[in-house]
Amino acid sequence: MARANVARQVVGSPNFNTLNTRIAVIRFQKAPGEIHAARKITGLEFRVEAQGDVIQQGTSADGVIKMRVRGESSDLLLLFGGQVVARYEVSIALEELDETLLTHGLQQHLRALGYHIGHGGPAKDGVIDVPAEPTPPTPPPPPKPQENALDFERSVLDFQIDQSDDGQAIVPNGDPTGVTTARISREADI
Amino acid sequence: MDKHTVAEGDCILSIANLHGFLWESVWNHPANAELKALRQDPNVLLPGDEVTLPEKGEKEESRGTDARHKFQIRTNLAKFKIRILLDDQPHKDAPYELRLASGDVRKGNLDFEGFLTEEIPADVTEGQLVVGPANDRLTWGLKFGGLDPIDTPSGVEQRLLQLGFDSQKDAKTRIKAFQKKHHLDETGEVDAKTRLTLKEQYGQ
Repeated sequence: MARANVARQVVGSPNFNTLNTRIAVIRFQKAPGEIHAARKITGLEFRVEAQGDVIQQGTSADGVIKMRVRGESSDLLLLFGGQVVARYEVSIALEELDETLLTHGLQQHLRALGYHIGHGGPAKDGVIDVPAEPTPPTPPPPPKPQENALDFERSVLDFQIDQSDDGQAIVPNGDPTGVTTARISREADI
Repeated sequence: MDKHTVAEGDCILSIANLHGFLWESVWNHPANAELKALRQDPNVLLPGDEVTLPEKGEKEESRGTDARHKFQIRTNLAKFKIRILLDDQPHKDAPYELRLASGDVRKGNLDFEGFLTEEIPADVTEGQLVVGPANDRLTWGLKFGGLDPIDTPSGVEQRLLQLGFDSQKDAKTRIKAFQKKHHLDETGEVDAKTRLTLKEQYGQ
């Protein structure tokens, strides 16, 4: 169990203790794309564990879980009939997803939205165009843009079809309005 | 005069209670002036601190023998006040259950600012706090008297962790994240301004 070190107070003291818990809002749905009633998962039973202790449990009515995260990471367990059917390790990073104007940022957003973008890249999550660290101890291998080009192209096409855009599978980098990238960014910003 | 060396979980309230004094008699004793100036808060001491105990004296009360008299002994009352936040927002009106190691259970609802205030025995050292409705509960183990002074590295670390800066990998990164959030110079070092802001944010 998470242990909090707290102080007693003398009567009349203005002092107090504080316990603040971080929240990650996670949406589960039946298919990638926009939030839609048909994609909702109702009665989603879940449990959150941190350092081996259950810190939260409940049932989500619409697939949205406001998960409490303690320490470096907490585990989100999805249950069906009381049995664990999926486990996700969730950590809260200070930095957000990168901008969708960058290829790897676009890939991160598509992946978060549930589109299949392959298994390329250093983390094998389909995000291939990862910028190098400012001072890497050893230089990472050069990115391979062709590694999952087809999967990436397909995920963009799927997204455009979902959004009723022209299904060109082309990310309009030169488009001054940046319609497609802006939409992906907004959709992934849950 | 006897001395009491502070152990984990001790505070002036619990020490006074243990040795049969009122907490004010111990804290305001001239022999503890240096400790008082150093720690400032009677209930946030550091293990290893030395507390001088006053000499015990007898107190006489004269009453007539032809009537029944009632004598009431003053005792040390401790208060426990804590604010529960979810992503920096008060967990307002949430039901809570405070289970003390002594067996007492206190139930109620947090106020609109997320505060819980309960009187507790001065010598209780452990407890459990459960907050939220049955389908969405948060649970903590509590170590009363475990909070270290804010001018110690451990005291800073405890406050940062409990304020939710617990996802960062080390103390320096935690301090930087706290400084960034509160628009302070992001040095990763605990300067006077950072310490003061931390004290205000944590509550002591």
